[in-house]
Amino acid sequence: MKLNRRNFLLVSTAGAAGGAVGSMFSPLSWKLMDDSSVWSQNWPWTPVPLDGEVSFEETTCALCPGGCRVKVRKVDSRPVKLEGVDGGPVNDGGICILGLTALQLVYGPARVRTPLKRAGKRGEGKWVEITWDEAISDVSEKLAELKGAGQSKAVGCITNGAKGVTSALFARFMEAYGSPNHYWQATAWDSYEENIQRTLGLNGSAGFDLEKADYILSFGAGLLDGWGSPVRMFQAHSKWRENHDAHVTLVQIDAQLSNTAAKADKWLPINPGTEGAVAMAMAHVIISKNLYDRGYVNWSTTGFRDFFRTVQTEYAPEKVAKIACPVQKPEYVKKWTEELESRAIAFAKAEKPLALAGKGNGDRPVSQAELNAIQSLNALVGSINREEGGMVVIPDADKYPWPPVVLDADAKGYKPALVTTKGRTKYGASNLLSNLPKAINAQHGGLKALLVAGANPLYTLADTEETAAALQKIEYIVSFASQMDDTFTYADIILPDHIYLESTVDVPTPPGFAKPVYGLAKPVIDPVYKTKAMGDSIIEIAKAMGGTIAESFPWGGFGDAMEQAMNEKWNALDSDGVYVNEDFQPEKEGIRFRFFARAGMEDRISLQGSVEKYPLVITPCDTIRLSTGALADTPFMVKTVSDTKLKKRELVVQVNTMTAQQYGFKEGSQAILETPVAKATVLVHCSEEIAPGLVGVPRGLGHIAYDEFVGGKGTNYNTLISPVQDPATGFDVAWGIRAKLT
Amino acid sequence: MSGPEKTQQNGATHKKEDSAGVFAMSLFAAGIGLYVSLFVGWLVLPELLYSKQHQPIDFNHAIHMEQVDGCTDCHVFRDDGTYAGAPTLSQCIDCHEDVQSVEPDPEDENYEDLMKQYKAEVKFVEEYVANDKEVPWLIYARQPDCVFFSHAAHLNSEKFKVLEDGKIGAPPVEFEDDEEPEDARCNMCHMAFIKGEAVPFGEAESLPVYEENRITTYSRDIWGRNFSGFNKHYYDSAKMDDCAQCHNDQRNEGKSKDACFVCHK
Repeated sequence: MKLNRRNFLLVSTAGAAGGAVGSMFSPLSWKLMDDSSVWSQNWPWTPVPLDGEVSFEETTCALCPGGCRVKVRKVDSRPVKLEGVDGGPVNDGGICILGLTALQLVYGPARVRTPLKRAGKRGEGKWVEITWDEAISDVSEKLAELKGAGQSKAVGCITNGAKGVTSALFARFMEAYGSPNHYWQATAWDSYEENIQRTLGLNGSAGFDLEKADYILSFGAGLLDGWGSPVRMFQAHSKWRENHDAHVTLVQIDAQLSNTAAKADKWLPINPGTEGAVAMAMAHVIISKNLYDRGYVNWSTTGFRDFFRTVQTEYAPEKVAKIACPVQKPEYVKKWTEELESRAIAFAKAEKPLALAGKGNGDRPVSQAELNAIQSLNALVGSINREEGGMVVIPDADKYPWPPVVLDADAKGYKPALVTTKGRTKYGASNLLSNLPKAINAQHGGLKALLVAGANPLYTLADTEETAAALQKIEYIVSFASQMDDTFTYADIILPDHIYLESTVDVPTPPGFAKPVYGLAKPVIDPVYKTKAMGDSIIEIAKAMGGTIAESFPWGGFGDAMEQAMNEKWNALDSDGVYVNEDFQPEKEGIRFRFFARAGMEDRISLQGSVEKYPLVITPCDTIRLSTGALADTPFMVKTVSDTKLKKRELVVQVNTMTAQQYGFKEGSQAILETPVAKATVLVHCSEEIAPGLVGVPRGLGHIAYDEFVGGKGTNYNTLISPVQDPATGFDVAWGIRAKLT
Repeated sequence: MSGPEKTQQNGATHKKEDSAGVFAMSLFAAGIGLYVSLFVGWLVLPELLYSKQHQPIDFNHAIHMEQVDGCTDCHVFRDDGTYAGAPTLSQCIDCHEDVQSVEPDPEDENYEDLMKQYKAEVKFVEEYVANDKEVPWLIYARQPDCVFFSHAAHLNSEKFKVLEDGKIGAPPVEFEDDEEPEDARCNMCHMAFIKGEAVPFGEAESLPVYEENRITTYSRDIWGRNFSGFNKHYYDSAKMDDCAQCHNDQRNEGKSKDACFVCHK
């Protein structure tokens, strides 16, 4: 046989054919086919949940003041899911989107996993890992050095509100250290507290028996957009809608068709900032028609005569319509006025009417003039301290029964706070954080060190540029953040906090809840990283500083301080995780509501910027899907934000179709949104859900830190606006700013 | 006969011879191809496909079965009825906080076996108990995540029994008097293949070599020892067809496909 090309091919083909036949009689091809299919059904890179023993543990969510009871589903020791606890006094089985996705805060890439010290320049993002011992001594040595140099008042502290044991420990530290500069950012609930003191002479917070009210006038309160305790609000709304025989009417008086307005029985559109005037016009109607509760007004109020006169002469609906009605066409104004009148009448005739304030999700203060007007409506219909469906005052909790703070000579001396207040506030200057950046920038060396505990001022304060300049002036910033938040980027040292699932945290009565309720979060998982509860960190810093500061912190740890603080509530909290004062009765004896004649229009807050240069007005849009406080959204929450608010990485603003046409914009047009303090590139969403002349800007976007899932998406609303002080309190009550779109 | 004619004849002969040669060569090549293919398919591939791994501890089931009250004493069912799988360190520590056995006497006739057991326990205590570290057992019966399997349902089901013809299913047959029904049911499927012998796991004195499929990462016990996939006994493999065979028979007399959703929830 000649080995030519032809024969070679023939023989090779025969060999291959033999091999092919052989493969049919061997399991090779069949087995590999089967294995490939199994492999492709179980891609090795797809995460597979671990198998293990399933258990549930209950705790209280401490991510917002809502006080929801939650249970964590664990597989062995790993938490895999969070859900609401049936029968929880506030949430009864419900949970909000933030609570549901809180495990992303535990395991997410933005978590601070160990104490860190800044290595590069501020904002460079260079950090070195340090031990807890190094971190505590670094902070205590710096603070001791400043105190030794007579600079104790140059140390500031920012906490997330006044309530709760952790904040109280920081306040105690500042007192023992000798600095008056402890601040937090006021909310609508601080405004309510102020108003309760002014109108009722009581120290307490506002509670609303919403579940039993039958006619609700909401002056911009985003009841379904995060106001109060969000889960409770959703459930209250469901209850209103469940009972068809006794239908509860919700009237939303709002500048835009928010989710709450969309779910309301009636949306009364108004110009933003005219809520107080509209409330006064309603009072005018109620008084004119003689529909007010004479018993309550005669026996339980003061100042009605002056109020009556002012309302009757200055707040006729037709007059208010000139500033409040969003479309100034005679036909529309007439209809709008009729609607206002009929709603005021229905409100007064209802059995259990209730008027609510607090714009959007309620984390922005409301002016006292506006609150006076809205509370006057409650007083006119006898809703204050009504048995059912009214507003009650939840008295402030007693001071924690801790031993007195030990003060050295330096701490005993009077030192004025850096922030001065023109108005009078219940907490002095403490809840005027919004005024702090200006004070720091005005007074060189005003603050040399700052402790930031559970707050994110660089994000949450209006006018980010001013805040950033103030932070740059502070030599030493200590952050206790659990996430790499916006303020974290300016910090010099980080002492990372636990997430509430790893820690003991108390949750005082949620805002707006009508009964005193106290919740306790207990550790349901072991700390995943090298983090420490803020309370423990500050106690350790105090102990490391020695002297009277250490003496003021006699506890072995945060747990001991917590147990002593909770006093008689501890046993109930320790065993059930929640304490409800079922026997609570609001104080009624001798309590009189004081009407303020000057309410509504006179003290109306005017915005920065001239109408000629900035013809439009920015108004914020809140949604339950966007967290606007110190804690940002979880990555999952960002995914749920609609593309009428965020498109890829660009902020979408809402503009009335008529306004958009006027300025030559179409749906999806790119535009420059400019205000007196900043400008940003935005996309335009044309809509009929907002009044002409307004630009609806979502809040809760535009974080400069965190991770790729949360940071760098959209623009922070607060960078675009600047604070406007309420003359009565000094709170930042800006509800927007003038702007232009080009 | 003229020269050219001769040459022609010779040429034809050569051609015939050449064709026969090519045919023979082709046949030979085909035979080689067939042989190589079969050799690779039957003998080489199994060696290449499976990696051989030894368990971290050579656990002796037989000796433990003498100490406990059945399989489920250690392979527990949790309070919610789910099956816990291999015991965790906390269970083992109940007895093995320290080394329990004593070093065997070299004179002992079972010295080698006893020494093996002793060494295994010492290793367990020193490497795992002392360091509070879970033993990374290699699980022979691990199924993909898309498979739901309830041990409790099989353990308690009257239908899950070996029939006289060697298959699994109803009607039930009696177990032997000295055998706990639960243990017997465990041993129905969980067989240890040691040196070519199938031994019920509860009676095995050592753990078999774990052979992991390099492609799927599952144990060879799922496909079965027989590479062809044709198995003699119900315990030889634990593939989908093995489950479906019984489930399809049990449910709707094999006429329905809803057997799929028993395991694939």
